Amino acid sequence: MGKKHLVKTMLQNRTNTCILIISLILACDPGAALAQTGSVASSYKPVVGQPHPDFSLPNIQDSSRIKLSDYRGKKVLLLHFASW
Amino acid sequence: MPGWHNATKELRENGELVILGVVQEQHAERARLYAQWKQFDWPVVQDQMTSIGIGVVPVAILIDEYGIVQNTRPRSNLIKKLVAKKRNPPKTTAPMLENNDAQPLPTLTPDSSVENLVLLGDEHMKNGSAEKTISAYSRALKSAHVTTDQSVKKLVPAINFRLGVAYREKFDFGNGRSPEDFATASQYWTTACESNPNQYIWRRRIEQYGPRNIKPYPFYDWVDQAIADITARGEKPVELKVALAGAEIAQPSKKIIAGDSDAVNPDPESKIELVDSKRPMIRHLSTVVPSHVTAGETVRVHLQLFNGEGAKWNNESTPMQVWINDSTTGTPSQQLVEWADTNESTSDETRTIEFEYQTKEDTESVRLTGFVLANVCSDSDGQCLFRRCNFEIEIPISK
Repeated sequence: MGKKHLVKTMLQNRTNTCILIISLILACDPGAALAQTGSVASSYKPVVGQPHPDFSLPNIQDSSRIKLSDYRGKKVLLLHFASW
Repeated sequence: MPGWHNATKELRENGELVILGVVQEQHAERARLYAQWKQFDWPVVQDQMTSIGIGVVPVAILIDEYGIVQNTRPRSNLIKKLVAKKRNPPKTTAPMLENNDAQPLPTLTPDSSVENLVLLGDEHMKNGSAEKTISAYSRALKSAHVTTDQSVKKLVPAINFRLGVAYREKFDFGNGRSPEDFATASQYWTTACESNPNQYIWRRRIEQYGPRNIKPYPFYDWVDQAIADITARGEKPVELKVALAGAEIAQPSKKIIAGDSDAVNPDPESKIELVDSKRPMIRHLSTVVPSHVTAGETVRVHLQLFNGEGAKWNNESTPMQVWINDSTTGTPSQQLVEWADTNESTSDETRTIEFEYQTKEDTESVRLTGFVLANVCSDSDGQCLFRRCNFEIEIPISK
């Protein structure tokens, strides 16, 4: 077994271990699966040049979910407003 | 928003731009009615919990085709130029959510983190379960209070706000709804706003239901005009699930106007027989908005009156009256309120009386007293009686 192959095998094992640990964390905390798909931002200020956080929220017309990233590939004007 | 709607018409029709609206309101169908009235043909989502973190409206953000913020203050007269501007692909792709709509929600475990409990509550709310939402947020709040992790403690105001929204949702629509849910919502909202007074959306919830002197504008006074205009177009207006009245349509006013200073106490000597305390035919519950104030400030009191078990309002006789007794701790906007009768001979709706109360600068505690006079009928023996129900309302004063 060459040195290169040995290093490759060790790296592969380490990766597998990491995946296993992450899977165990997810199994311990069922809510963690949701943590990947949302945020608990208490305040957000958009910054030019930075990605806008994605979100998934109910459409007021029919409660179907709309994600900001559904519009990837198009320019989006995001309008935060209230009817009051 | 109508300005943006008109300014982007051509761009939207050419497929060069899409508009996505976000409303932070408590009731989605009010925004639906507004969108119908203004003939918005673009989607609008509801961020009831302010989960994106925007603290004020209106806000417009232009996002490019790669999900990158292109402009944070776009002007409608320059939008064509901004949209035409070529953008280079970013070095890293903006993160995207996976489509998790159809996935079943996980159950709570003792190990769930505060953040995940909040996210779980958010998901339950989007799925229309206020009770499960309250359960998740309550656990999150409890954990956040005891943690030593400052980054988690920072979530406490946002959780308080969310609990206010969830309790109000339960009050309006939930299974097992209780008249107390509104008072609980007011307490959570007041606490949230005290922690973060710069979050204007949170503050709007207090203003929506609170006294006129803190209102920046009448919140939903456009609704009647919208319904008339939509009907005149031959369309059916979106139906509002929660009727608008009182604080939500009141005009702002800097002064408490005691509109009935010559009002006469309808039962000064307490001659009208009181309701049976063991089986009261009239019950009451009050919500004060904000839930507490400093001396000198004003609150709006929402007094809910409802029938006890086996009783109904009798609408064929003297209209219901509510009297607020004189007090040395402040001034009510009205001392006497009469309830406009319905057309039915008997009914069992909850009747909400609203008035404002300006506390005196030097007061240390406020306990308002008053009474209700109403005709009520018993289901069991068909007897209709004129009865008095006394009430006390405490307005907590912060030191």
